[in-house]
Amino acid sequence: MPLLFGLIAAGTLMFFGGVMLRRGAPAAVSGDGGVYADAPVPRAEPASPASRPARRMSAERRGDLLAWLGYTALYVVVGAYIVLGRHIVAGDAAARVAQAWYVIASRDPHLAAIGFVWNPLPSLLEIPLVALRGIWPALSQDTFAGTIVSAVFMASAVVHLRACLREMHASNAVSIMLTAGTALSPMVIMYGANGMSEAMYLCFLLGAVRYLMRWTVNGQVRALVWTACYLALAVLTRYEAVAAIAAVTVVVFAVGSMARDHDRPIRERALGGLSDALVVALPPLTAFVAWCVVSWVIVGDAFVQFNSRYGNASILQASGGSSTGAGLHPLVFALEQTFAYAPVGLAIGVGGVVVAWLRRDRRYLALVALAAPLVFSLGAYAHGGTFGLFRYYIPALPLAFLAVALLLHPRRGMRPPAPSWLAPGSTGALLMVFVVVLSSFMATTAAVASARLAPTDQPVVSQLFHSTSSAKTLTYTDLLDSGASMAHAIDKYGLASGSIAMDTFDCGFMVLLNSANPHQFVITSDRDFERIVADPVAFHVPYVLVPDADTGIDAISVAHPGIFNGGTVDGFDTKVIATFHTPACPDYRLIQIVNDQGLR
Amino acid sequence: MTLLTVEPTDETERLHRACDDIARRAPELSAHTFLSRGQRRFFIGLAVITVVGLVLVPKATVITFVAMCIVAYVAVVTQRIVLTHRSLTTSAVVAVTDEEARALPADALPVYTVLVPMYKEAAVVEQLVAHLRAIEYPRHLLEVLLLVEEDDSETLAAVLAHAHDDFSVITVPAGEPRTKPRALNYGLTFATGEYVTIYDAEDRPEPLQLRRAVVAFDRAGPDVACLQAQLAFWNFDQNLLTRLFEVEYRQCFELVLPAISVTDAPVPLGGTSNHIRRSVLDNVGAWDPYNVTEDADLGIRLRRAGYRCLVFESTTLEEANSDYVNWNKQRSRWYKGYLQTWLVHMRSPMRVLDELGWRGFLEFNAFIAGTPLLSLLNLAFWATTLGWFVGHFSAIQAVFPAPLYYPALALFVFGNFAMAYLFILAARNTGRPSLVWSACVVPLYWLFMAIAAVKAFYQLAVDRSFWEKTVHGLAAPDDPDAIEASPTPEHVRGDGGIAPLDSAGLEALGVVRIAVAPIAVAPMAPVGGAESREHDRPPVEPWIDAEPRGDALVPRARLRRSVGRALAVGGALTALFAIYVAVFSGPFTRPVSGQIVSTVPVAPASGTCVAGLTVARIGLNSTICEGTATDVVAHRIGHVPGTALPGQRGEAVVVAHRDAFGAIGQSFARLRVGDRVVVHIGGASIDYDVVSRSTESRNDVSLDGDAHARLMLVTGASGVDPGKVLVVQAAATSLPHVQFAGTAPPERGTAHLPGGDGGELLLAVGCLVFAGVAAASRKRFAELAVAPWASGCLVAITIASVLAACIIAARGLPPTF
Repeated sequence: MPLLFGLIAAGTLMFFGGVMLRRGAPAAVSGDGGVYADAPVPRAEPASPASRPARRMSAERRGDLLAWLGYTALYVVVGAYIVLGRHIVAGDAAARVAQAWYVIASRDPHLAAIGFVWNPLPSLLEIPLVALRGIWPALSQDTFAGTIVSAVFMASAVVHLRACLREMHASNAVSIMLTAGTALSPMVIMYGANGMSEAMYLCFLLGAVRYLMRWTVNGQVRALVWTACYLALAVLTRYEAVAAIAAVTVVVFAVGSMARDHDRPIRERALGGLSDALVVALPPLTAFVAWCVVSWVIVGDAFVQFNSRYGNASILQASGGSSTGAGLHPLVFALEQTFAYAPVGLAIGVGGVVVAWLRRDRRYLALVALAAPLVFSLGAYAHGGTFGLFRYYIPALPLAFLAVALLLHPRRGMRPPAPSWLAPGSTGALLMVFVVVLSSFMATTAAVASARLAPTDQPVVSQLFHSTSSAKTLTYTDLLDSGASMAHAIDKYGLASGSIAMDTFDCGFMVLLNSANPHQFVITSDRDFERIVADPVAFHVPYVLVPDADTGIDAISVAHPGIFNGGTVDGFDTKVIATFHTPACPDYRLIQIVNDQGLR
Repeated sequence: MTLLTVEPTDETERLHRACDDIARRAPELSAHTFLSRGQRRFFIGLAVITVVGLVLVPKATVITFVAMCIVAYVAVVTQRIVLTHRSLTTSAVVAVTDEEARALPADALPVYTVLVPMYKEAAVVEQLVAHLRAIEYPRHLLEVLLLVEEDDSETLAAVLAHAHDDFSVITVPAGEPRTKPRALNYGLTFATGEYVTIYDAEDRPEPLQLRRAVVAFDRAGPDVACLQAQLAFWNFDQNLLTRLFEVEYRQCFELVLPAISVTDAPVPLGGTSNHIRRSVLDNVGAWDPYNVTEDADLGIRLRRAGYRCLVFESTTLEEANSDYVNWNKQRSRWYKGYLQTWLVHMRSPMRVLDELGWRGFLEFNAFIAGTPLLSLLNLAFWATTLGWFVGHFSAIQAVFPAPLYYPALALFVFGNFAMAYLFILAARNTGRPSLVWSACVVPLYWLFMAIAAVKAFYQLAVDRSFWEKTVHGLAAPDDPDAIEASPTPEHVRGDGGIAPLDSAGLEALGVVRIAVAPIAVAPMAPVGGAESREHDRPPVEPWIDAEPRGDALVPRARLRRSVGRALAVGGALTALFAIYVAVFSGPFTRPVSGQIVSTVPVAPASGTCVAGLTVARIGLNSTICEGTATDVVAHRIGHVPGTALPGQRGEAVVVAHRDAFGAIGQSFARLRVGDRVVVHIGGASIDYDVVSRSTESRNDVSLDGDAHARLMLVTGASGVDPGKVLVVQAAATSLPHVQFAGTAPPERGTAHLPGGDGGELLLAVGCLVFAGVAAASRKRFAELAVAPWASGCLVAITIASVLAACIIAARGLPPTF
């Protein structure tokens, strides 16, 4: 105790010493300010600081703040119900939390453990949250850190949308309807609550749209810089944002050239447009390149997402290619999914391109930041390069709503103006917005209840509302409990640090998140993983945990084929210690490598 | 054309004033002395500490140095970003339209003095005269003083040949220091204007500039003593260097300086086209002849005396250095001057802090010291990075431990990108697309700057006041903007253009000699003192009320208040944390089941209580549980996983907190050699005798894997060093058979004595920062008139954050604390 008492005494002394020292200092001195204390000095009296008016928070910012707080609370509460209450977690969201967890709590904690298959930003932001595990274990074990992050960013996305509408001078009623129509859309609530990266992705894209729209109106470089910053964040969140970068760059070049003084020579105007394009493209491109370079330096591959065993391409191959809904042409199916977000709104938006063209409404071009990644996703699916997941097309929702709002609110002097029955504030306009929002809500609700359109979301919805799930859909709803049960069973063996080699890919991350002793696992992100997997005996790692899934992805099964069914490891026999049969995961086996020669 | 001449005695007096005014009136503001005594002591002390550190703890010293460099780098980069952001969001440049400038009638205009110092500028005299004549200002109110060095006969001849009737030529007597500020000060003794401005010989001032300045002065408050015009280059398109230079100048005068000018920070003035109130100039002691960037120094002195400088919209075109060697000379002089200026003003940092306020002080440091430093650091960091990627030198790895490496790498990437991006933004702002593409190769420019910075640091040590002359007239003459210069008169054109300076020659040129009345030898008044107004010229009306700022504090009081606040906060936090650890740390840990299991698994799960431990002599009776996590070890003894269990062969390691969480370790400390320690496990009792006790470094606790059966009791050492542990070794007298359950035999690794993984500490600090932000936001919220309940919430958040910090930090304590 002497140290503690010493600390208490020293702290108290410091405190009172400090207070007395402060008291001793005169609050203000009269006279000349003490600068040239020897001689009376005429000193200039700066007029500005004293007359600086007290700044008040503007009504808009206060409204934004309240909306943000409200929607964040909504998504957190819904997330708490889904994740903590019903124990349903989204696999990818949990995997991202697990990546944050590897960085601080794995046997080999290092920042690069965050992994390179996915873009780093979501996991990076989850690190400080999972670090709070000591106070609230659910943050890491139940992956609730992901929910908090997604809730915050989904609410921010809604605020960006709100700001866009404000800047086009939409009336309160229109603004509230469109904002609420977005914020309360089933997909938005679900993805604000479940910890997926969609929330950040939408937030950054909408931020980019907001400032790009402002730039097309005022031409100020500041708005362009903000656009660039949001695109950079977006590309650190999802690869699809690369499409947004390309499209925005082209748009900025075009608008930048067109908007310049028409008397100037065409070459000069084009160069001016190019300089604007450079300003907007440089930050996101730098972020993207930096990420690729870091990835290349650390794992030797700049595009892990596309090339690695864990990347999309190989998962797609392992799962037997992208499934199309009911034999439709993939593009038709993908379009069906897209239009399910806002059927009327998208139709109006696509048709409205002509009107926007006639009006020369450059703000419409800002929407490419949302449209380009959407088109990219459609194209990727049509070419069989990705899964047909409903969530990929979520940018369609704000895109449709913003397009409708832009069509209803032309800037002053634009021809043709909205017809009088659709003029801003008129009943016709309100009705139209209402129809757009209502149809969107109904279509999306129907889609998430359809196993065909929303193959990963429907099981969650049906489990939540009807408590029904089939053997096939348990993968989506029972992941958390499956992982936890395996982790608890393994913890009972009380193994020492670095005893079990395990690939975190399939359900491994869930085991690690729920284990009370994460150091017992040698995991994929450990820097010695490859060496250990190649020769576990030499590294004194006596156990491996392998899944019974012949997908060619599990690193241990790839290195030692047949190990699940009692194969040998470098000539050593293996012994099955335990088999774990869980609803959401493939069967896992804890296998001991029998080393009776006592080699160490 | 008038040649102003003075009596020899008067010349001496004027020279004396030009050279020694500041040095005598306010020696602490003059660069005549390099370092003050305090600074010398400081630097010697720093050197001693560094050397001692390098000898005793070389690695820690280098790491500290690297960390400080990173902090400096971050500060400078952050400042540039903040400044650019401020410029883009607020309109910081004073604008006066052509109409407003021309609207002023001639009788409302004051006498305006234009000082043009020249040294070896014969080549540009012709153009200079043309540009000066283009200035729109009533001739009788415009006093153009061309200041030519006495021994520079070439320039003098050219001047005399070209100058017009309404220009006056002054020959500056030769002498040391031969600097521009000395010439300016000398010229100032002849000046009679209410406002004074400076143009370099190669300048092309915008014709309406003086009128604009007068309007802007009238508009601004009396505290605005100086208006800086924007500078740019007329030959910017000459080559890549001039294009980069142009972008840099535009960045400086359009984005950076205006942003500085709207805060309390001092504006380092540009070398020319700064328009200053004459009375203020006298008051603050004019230019420092020993400073090689007298312009920047003057800007800071003005601000320290309470005056402000603004940037106004009017561009003077200069000639950009198109030659690298020449550019390098100029740039190293600037850097040297900045460092010189910084040293001068940091002689009494507390006083500067008092005069400029915190923000002004930080901005002053970040800009004046940061500019040359950033160039140098940039070189160092690039070299380090290259060295790391190319050579993988282990020395580099050693001085970048992980907590430093990741931030450093991230900041290096982000910082470089941000600086390049700001440069490109500045180029985009010029509206000239060709500059944008040149701006993309700005890293090359950084290399140039870095070389200049190295030279500047070297020169600062070796040759402080040496003024490296920048050669002008290198630009191609085919400049379309150039105003048609008057032709050189026939009689001076001859060979070399050198005209004799005798009376006959002067008369031939039509030069009138005017003898100027001597100035009064006035007693030197302190700089900034009221007496300085009692000069030879008519006394200037005091245009400022000498009222002090309301909240002005003497520097020492300010220091006391800041230190007092820091001490109070730090002390309160320390005491609170210690009290929390001593009193409350237990209840907040999750309890583990204290039930000792009857059949001990061979590898118990974390938290399983496996054994009881008693020492009869000191009355210790506790439980041993598996693991070293905080919730396991609180009020219990923890068994280090991976070591043998009591009853197994090998060394069993157990740990206990010594100060926190029940402090069972205190009992360990009371064990003596020969004490009997009894462990009850799996129904058996094992007797151990204490055989040794020692204090070891946490990392050095070694295990003897082949030991018969030993118990190692570890707790914190009694001192304050958390890296030291007390190790008590006990050997089993006999090893009874203990039945362990389980099929999986544990692999015995080495004993790893865990400490906090640093995450908790980081998190606790984060919580404290958050608490600080919440506390600070209260005031801000009050300013913003946000609802009162928000303020209450913030108080609650502050308290909760401090509590959270305590809890988290306590959980991060090593199990031996």
